[in-house]
Amino acid sequence: MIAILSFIGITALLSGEGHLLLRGITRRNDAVTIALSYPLGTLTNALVFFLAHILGLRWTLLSIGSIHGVLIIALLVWFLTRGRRKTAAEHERIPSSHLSPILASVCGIVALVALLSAALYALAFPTFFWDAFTNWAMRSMQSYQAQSLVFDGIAKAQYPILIHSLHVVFALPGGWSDRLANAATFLLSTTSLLTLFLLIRRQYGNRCALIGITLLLAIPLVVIHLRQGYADIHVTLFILLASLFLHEHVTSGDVTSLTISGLLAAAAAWTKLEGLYFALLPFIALALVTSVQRKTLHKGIRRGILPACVLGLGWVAFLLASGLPLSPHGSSVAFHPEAIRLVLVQLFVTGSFGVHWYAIALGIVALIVVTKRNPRTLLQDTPSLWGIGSLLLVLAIYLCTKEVEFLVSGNTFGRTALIPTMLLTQALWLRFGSKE
Amino acid sequence: MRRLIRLRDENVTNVCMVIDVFRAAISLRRTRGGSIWFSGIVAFQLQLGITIALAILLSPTVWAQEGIPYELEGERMATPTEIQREVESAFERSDSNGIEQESSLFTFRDGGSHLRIRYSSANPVPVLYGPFDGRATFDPLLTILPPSEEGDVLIPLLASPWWNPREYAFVVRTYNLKSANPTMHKVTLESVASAGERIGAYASHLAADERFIGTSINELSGYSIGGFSFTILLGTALLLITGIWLALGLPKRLLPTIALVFILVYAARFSLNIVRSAAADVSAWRTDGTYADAIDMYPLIQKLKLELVISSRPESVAVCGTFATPLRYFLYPTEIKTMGDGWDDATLVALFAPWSAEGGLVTCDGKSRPGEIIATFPAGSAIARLHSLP
Repeated sequence: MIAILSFIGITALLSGEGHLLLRGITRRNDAVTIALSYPLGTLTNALVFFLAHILGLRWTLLSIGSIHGVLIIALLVWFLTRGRRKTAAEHERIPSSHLSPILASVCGIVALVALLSAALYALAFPTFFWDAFTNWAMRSMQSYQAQSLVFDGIAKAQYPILIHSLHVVFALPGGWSDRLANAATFLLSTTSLLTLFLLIRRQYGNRCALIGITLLLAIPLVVIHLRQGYADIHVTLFILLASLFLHEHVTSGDVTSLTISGLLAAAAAWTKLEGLYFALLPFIALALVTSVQRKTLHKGIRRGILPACVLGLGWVAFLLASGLPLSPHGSSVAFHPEAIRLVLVQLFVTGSFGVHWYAIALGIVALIVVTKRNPRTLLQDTPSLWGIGSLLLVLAIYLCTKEVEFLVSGNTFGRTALIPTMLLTQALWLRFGSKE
Repeated sequence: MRRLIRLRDENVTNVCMVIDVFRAAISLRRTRGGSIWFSGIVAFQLQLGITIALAILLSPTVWAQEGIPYELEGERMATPTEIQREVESAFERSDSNGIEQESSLFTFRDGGSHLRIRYSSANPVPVLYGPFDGRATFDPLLTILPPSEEGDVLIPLLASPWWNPREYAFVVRTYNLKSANPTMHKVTLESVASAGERIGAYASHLAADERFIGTSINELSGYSIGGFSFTILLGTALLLITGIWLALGLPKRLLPTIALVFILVYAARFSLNIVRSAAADVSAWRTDGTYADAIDMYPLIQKLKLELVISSRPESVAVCGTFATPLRYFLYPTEIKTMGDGWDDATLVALFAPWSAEGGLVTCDGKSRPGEIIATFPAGSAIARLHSLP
């Protein structure tokens, strides 16, 4: 009973922080804002724990609770001073769309099976996957017991701490619980997916949203990752959300979407180091390009790039100051042509991605054909640009660096390739499938 | 079951007979009242033709040249716990005390459908076997060789979803009681399955679920038909249909829907896999606390936790086998050591590798110490309390 009450309480605290932050930025209260509250609350929580570490405070209920208390009061004051937005209506106008009952049923079944099975394994079974016993839940538990961020004896001490701080904040009231830790991160996955659904629905309608989410949940490796244990699914979902909010900014001109996109890119950078290369840097590049295009460079920097950098580069700056490397795997550059076959096997032969990459390949060909006719359309299509950029980066990493050994062993490639797979699936569906 | 049917010459004779009767039936049809007879003869010939075709399909293509081996069944095992139970049952044991195992990799020049094993053993020999892909053995099959002085058996490979007629490398693991090793005289790869059996096997491969194990979070194998990736088959079909669609000038706006259909077909197969494996995992978890390839790690951990709590003195825990890392997590802050650095001082040891307990000695991974087994678990693991050396 106490565990349930503390879980609800901590969830409410993080969601409250996230919600106040979003309300202050957007001055809008809608379904997307509510759904995104918890994911953004995990970012504020990570910053609270980082601040406590920098100030030398022990990670106790009192110290962390006090910082959260100060933060929530500050956010409340800021929100109240911002006032309400003078827009047409509080409720959303959802674009109309027709969805056939058969298609809705099939998509619904596929999505439900994926989510319910993930819930079963995340909540009813104990932690199962190996890296959770070393880099994730183990480090979180050690830090909770030590009441500070543990570095000694940790194989990959440079990993950012959004997931670790999320684990610890739920352990502070009642003690460490493996199930509670997985429940906290499962809630992050589900609220992120819900936000994705609502955001697509807001821009394209019910049909596009349902099929878009189903396409993501139809990726077999995604279903396995939703069982929790690793941070790859969380960094990927943050990246997806960031790309969609940036797309909303480009299509609607709403600068608050740019700000939220930057926050989500920062959250990705706090989740895994991949977030720096696949989220923060691409966001900065795309935000600069689109701001120059729209002749709103100063606004773009002030409202988007600057907050993202200030919030997202904190951990990177800390690593550099501590002398820790930015990658746990080392770096050396050399082209490995023999690895091309392995990449093709991973994407087109194994079951990790189903037949998604065949569809993505067709979509990329279509994109090239359309872009040749009208090159300016590609600059507007930030999700596709982000997806193609991430694909090129993954190929560069696994074909041209020492990471090739993890491709050979089948260890990390699939997890890293989740980023371009989900980005391109989403981007190409919105580009070509959203029109009925 | 012995296969002694040779139908090649007989089949040729039967086909000529069918043709002659057809000619007669056609000439009969031209006469008055002959149409009924014609219909009846055609129906009879069709039935005879189908029977002959089935006989051709079901007849084996090649026969073993030396003697006639005894064919056994090879069953695809659902979980490591099931394997352990079958092995213990074969030796009429209730735990894995004193059961040893030995693995070998066999590579052959060509592919085949059956392994032929010539052996001698006073005891039954459980054999776990399957195709080898260079990294791990997928979906092993299990069979039990009967005790025999001059055993000669054929064990089929078709039930493994990773078998294909070109596969030439196989892992074979045999189990035996301590000091009662079987003698494997010869292991060969034979091609004795009929065309019908092969077609049936290919169809069953697609229905074989993927097992979700610890490494599934890095990569999923997917499904196969005769060792050929289902992902490639379905993906190539998508590309072909797209090409034909464009070549015929059909509306391009429907192409996303076509791609969606193919994705949903794969998703439907995967969803079925998810549901069935979830049901199996829940059943195993509720029955004996085992879970996928973590086998009985979790019930062992619970028992160890209890031992550590009720113990009145500091304990030192070692692990024989591969689960030291998860044990460190679940038993934190208790220090967990491996055999290399913790065996000599350990007071409790988790036995995840083959072990034996005889004459007051506990043995694992070639090391022995005085002690006794205090708990055994369904998949063969155990906990031993070790005593100081005298």
